[in-house]
Amino acid sequence: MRNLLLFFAKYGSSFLFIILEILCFYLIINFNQSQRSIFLYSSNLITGKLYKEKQKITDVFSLSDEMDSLRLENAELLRRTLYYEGYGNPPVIDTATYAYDLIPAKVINQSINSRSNYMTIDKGAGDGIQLDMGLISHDGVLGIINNVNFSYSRAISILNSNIRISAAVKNKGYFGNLIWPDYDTERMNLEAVPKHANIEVGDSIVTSGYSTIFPPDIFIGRIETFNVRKGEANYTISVKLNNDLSKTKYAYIINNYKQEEQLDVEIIE
Amino acid sequence: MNTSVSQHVIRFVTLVLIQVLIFKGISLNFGFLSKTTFLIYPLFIMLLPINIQRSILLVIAFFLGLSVDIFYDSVGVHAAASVLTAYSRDIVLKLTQPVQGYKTAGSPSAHNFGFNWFLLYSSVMLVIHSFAYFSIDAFSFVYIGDILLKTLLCFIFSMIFIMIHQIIFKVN
Repeated sequence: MRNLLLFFAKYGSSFLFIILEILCFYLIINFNQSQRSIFLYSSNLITGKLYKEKQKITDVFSLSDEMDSLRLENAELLRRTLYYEGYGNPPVIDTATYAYDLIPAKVINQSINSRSNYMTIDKGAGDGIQLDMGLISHDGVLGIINNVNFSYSRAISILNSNIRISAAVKNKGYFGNLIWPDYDTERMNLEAVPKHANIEVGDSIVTSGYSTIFPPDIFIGRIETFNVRKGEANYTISVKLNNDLSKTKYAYIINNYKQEEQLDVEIIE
Repeated sequence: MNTSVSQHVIRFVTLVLIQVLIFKGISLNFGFLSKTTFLIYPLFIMLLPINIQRSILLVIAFFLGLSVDIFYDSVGVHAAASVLTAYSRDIVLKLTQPVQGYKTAGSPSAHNFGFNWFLLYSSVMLVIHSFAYFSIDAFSFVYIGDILLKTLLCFIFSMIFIMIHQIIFKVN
C-alpha cells in the first residue's frame, strides 16, 4: 500500500497528463468535423486489415456451410439458364444498356446487436466502391455504403435505426419505407402503406426501385403481421426478413450507372 | 501570496482576452505570411511560479486551453497542446537551468533570470506549444511541411509579443 502511494506521489502528474490528453483527444474527435473524419478514415485502415486477417482464420471453419450456400446459388442460376435455353435464345448481355453492375465482396466485420449496426467489407474505392451504393446478398438487402477508403468500406446495415429503404408489396404496387424499429434482428417495419391497400400475410416485400440505390424487385422478406394503429391512416406492417444477417459472409455491391443522372433530374431548386 | 495569486488570475484573463479578441482577428495578407497564427496565451503557462505542483499546473493549463478553444470553436485542440506544454515545462526548466540554480520561488521571467535566459526558455516552450498545436489541428503528419511552416511563422511573430511583454512588465 505504502509503495503504491509512493508510486502515485512520484508519477501521479504523469498519469494526470495522460488522462487529460485522452480527455482532450476525446473532445477533439467528438466536436471537430475535420479531425473526426481523419480519425475515422485512419482507424478504418487499421481495423479493416485486422478484421480481414481474423476473417481468414474463421473462414476455414465455415467452409462447408459456405459451399452449401454457393451450391444452392449455383443451382438457382443454372435453373434460370436452362429455362432460357428451353426458349432457344439465351439473353444477350450488353453492358452498354445495363443500368447496374455488381461487385462481389466479402463481409469481414459486422455488428448485429447494437442500435446502430454497421458492416465492413473488403472492397474500397480502389475497386470502384463509392458512397451511397447498395449492398445486397443473394437472399436479400444488406445495407448502404457510408464510409469508403482505398481498400475497405463500411456500410450502414439494414439493422440500423437511421436507415430508410424504399420497399413495395410485390405485384400490388403499394410502397412505403422500410425501417428497423428495435433490437429484433429478424424483422423490419414497412411504413406509409395506406390502410385501404389490399394486403395479406405472406405477401412478398421487394425493393421498389424508386431510390437510386437499389434496383427494383430484390426480394426482402414476407409480411408477418399488419395492423392499423388508432388514429393513423397507414398500416404498420411487420416484415420477416428473408436473409439472416448474422450469417452473411458474401455480398454484392450495386453500382447504379445512372444514379447521377437520376439524382440530377430530381434536384429541385 | 494573495497578491501573487490575483496577479496570475489577472494575467490569465487578460492573455486569453488579448488572444481571442485581438490576435485571433489578425491575418497578414502577404503570400505565405497569411499562414501566420499568433499564439500568445502560452506565456501564462511559462510565467506560473517555479515551485508550483506539476498536477496543478496541468489542470490550469487544461482550463486555459479550453477557454481559448471556446472562442476558436475547436474544442480540445488548444487544450491538448497546452497540457503538453505544461507537462514539458519541468523538463525545459531543468534543461535550461542557470549555473546558480533557481533561487527564487517566483516566476521564471526575464526580470528574475535575465533576458537571454528567458529568450531561450520561452523559445523552447513556444516551439513545443505551436508544433503540438498545429499537429493536432492538422491531425495527420501527412501535412508535415505545412505544420513546420506554420510553427516557424507562429514562433517568430508570437515571440515578438512575448518579448515586448517582458520588457514592459516586470514579473516577479
